[in-house]
Amino acid sequence: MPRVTRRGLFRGAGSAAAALVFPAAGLSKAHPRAPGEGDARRAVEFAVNGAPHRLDVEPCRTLAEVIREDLELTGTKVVCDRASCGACTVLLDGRAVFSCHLLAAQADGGSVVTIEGLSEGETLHPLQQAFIEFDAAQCGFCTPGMIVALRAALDRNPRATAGEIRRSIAGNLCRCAAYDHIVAAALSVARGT
Amino acid sequence: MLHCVVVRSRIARGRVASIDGAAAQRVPGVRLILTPWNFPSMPEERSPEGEIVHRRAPIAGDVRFVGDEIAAVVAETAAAAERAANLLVIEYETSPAVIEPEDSLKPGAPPLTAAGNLVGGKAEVYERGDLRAGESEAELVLERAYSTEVQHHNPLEPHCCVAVWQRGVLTLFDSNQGVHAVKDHLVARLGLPENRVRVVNEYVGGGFGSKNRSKPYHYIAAAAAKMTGRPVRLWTDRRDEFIASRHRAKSRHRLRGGVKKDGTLTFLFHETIGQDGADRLLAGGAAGSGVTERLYRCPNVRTEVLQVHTNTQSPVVFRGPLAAEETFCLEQFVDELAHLAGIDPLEFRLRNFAEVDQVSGKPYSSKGLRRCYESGAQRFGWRWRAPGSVRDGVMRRGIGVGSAILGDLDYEPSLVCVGWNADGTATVTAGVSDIGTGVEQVLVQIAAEELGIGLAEVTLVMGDSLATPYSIDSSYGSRTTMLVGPAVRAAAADARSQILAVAAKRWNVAAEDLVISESVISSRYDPTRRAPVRDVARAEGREQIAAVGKRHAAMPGVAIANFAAHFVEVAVDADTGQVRVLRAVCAHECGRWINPLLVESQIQGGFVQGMGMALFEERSMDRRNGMMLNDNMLSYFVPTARDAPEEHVVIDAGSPDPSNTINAKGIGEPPLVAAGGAIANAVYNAIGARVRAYPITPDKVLNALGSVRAD
Repeated sequence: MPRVTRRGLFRGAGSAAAALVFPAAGLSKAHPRAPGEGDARRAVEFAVNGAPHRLDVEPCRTLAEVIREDLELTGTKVVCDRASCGACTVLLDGRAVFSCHLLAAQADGGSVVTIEGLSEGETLHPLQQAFIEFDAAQCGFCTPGMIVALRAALDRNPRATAGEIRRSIAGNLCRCAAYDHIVAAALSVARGT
Repeated sequence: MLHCVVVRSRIARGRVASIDGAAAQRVPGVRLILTPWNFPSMPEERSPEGEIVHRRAPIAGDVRFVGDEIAAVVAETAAAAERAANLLVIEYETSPAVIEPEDSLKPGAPPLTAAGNLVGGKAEVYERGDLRAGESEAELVLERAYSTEVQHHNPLEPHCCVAVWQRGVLTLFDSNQGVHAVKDHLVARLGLPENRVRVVNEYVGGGFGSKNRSKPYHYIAAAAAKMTGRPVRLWTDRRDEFIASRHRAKSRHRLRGGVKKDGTLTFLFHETIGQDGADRLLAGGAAGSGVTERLYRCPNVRTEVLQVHTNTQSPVVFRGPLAAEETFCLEQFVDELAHLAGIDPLEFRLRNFAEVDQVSGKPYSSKGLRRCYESGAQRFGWRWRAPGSVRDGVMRRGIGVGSAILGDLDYEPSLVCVGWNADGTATVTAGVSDIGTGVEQVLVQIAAEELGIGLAEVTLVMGDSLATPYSIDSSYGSRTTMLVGPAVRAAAADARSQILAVAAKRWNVAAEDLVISESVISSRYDPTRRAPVRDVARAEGREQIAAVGKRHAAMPGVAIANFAAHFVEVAVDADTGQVRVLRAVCAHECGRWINPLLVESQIQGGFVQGMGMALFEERSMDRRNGMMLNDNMLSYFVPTARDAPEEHVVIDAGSPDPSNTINAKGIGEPPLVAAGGAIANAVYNAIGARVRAYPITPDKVLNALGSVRAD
């Protein structure tokens, strides 16, 4: 059986160019973007989870796209791409933002934290640990954005009440509706229990 | 890897006359444009009975609803594909369309199939007893109409896949609820041998019924990958999820029933009209699920179900399909009968309690509904009061009860493998995917307990149709645990017996004398005979000990179903019409709770989805052209953290069920199904007026209160 992994496909391994309808002309294999794609790139610098990055991006690309595709941090999810569900929530300079609704260029000079940045090595962030203990993730797709939003809320208000917690995640949709366990998990962290 | 964007029809009915791709072709990075004229022809498909199955091609020129697939663009980047898709010049020949179910059967309505617009040509009828006799015995008679609207699954992870052909094998990394189901469909439609199709999917970002089968996008991605010779990624954006991923059907209900003065039901009549879309490509049916026949004891029952074709998406199962629609309406009607008779709605339900299956006459393997009612009522503090009697300024408070019956499981095959590793850990291989229910955890628990080792020592390999046996087609119907769990238990039991036989031989004792507990094999009778499982396994070297387990036969002579009773308190703002669910007590009986945290998650989550269907969610459609107006997550209202009840109690009112070897039943769907009636009945209790059209939105509440202001 051929050894193919989805991650390998995203990196460009495993593609065999043959019998294309419109032959690729002058396409650089090293860089996946086609020539003439969009406007001229510009350099953008921001830290992600503490590590500095310098990227050349087209101005039209969103922060979510760049995080996922260029930096391969796929914890952040794109669901609605319209700032209407919260799945793409990351921290930018400590504030929870919808990364699908920000251009990568708007993060220039800033500091981004994604879900991957919450744990330290093998040690989970208390919120991540609480999510496990309270079964606060069902399908898990809203979970990265949800935890990041909660982290921002608890950073600002460490002793948040259940009502304040609910308000802080009003913009994070969970279709599985795991809200009761999500709030319980966050509350346990707020109460230090 | 290439990116594929699907192009969808903007008209509701007609044909694509032409597609001009000249401008699209010139977008840098475009590699392929698929149209109805160059989409590869599919082999003839035959049903298991050998009949030719006629299906619309995945990309075709005939259009049946706004959103139907008519072209696809494949490019080096998603942005290029989108840009090119927008540059396609498409000409249509538009035909008159039928949008609403009411229009479908009117004289002069265009026929959407050769057999007309009524599926099957006639209503599906169930009848028992004598309806006329029941009506004449009734001392109080009521007739009411209700309705439910379209509910969109809206899983956060959209439908998406990556298709790649390598050395004659088609691999699909996909988001679905069952790798074997999707693989089966691909094999049937593409005419490929089963060993040359591989569907990979372990964890799913939500499905709720929308991802049980293959859909046109699978075939579009596979064709694009074949024609370009490169892997192709196809991702559905949120708008396309709304207009083309299918949904719960809209339904219209007419209920007529009668009781004696003491509240005993004498007859029930339930007519349902379900909107079935333009064909039955994916339909799990649009109406009728046997709730009216089964939920209460009633000697005279007739149900008539009509399903009608319209130029809209055909529905697909959504958590409690048909049952939710039917129950939401029946439970309001039963409440109305109770009030007509002047009886507490809870007491009314208990008076009409069905001990055995009302259709087959068989006893249930277990039925804890009475305990659901009683324990739920006690925990809730149920004390019935007159409608509209509890006010707090502008707020009106109300309480309501609703119940549910759902599901059964006849025999279905399920095969699971369990193997000891050389170090005493174990691997379970099962062809399931975890759609968010935590079934992975449940199956690991069952295996670990049976094997006598720790949870961390068991790994479940799942979600790969070439690497796992057929354990289930797809996860739906609240049955994965009770179908696959016993197969896991059987395989683990066999693996345990085998390793005990090895140890018995080595120690020269009878295998029956030995047990495994906490990863140690020991003799019941001789305490010196003990060794870690690890040592026994290691001594076998590479002679791996492995077992296969099958799901046992169905238990004969019983009916199997899951039951629930929900008690809800709402607050209704009489000025704005907004309804808030303040608290809910959900009492369920579903056999053994193998993992209580996971069961609680399903109950709470299902309740909130039912609340969404009851209060917020609906499709708003332009009747003239069949276009969805709220095709986004801002104007289609999925419940948020602030909508979910702040107090949400869950009760286990069941008992271990004897119909399978893990004593479990199902829990995925009943929580949604029981929620709507309870909420609607609470709204009535709050304001003293009934809203019979779901979702119970503020405008309908204000209408019911008679205080809609003309603006």
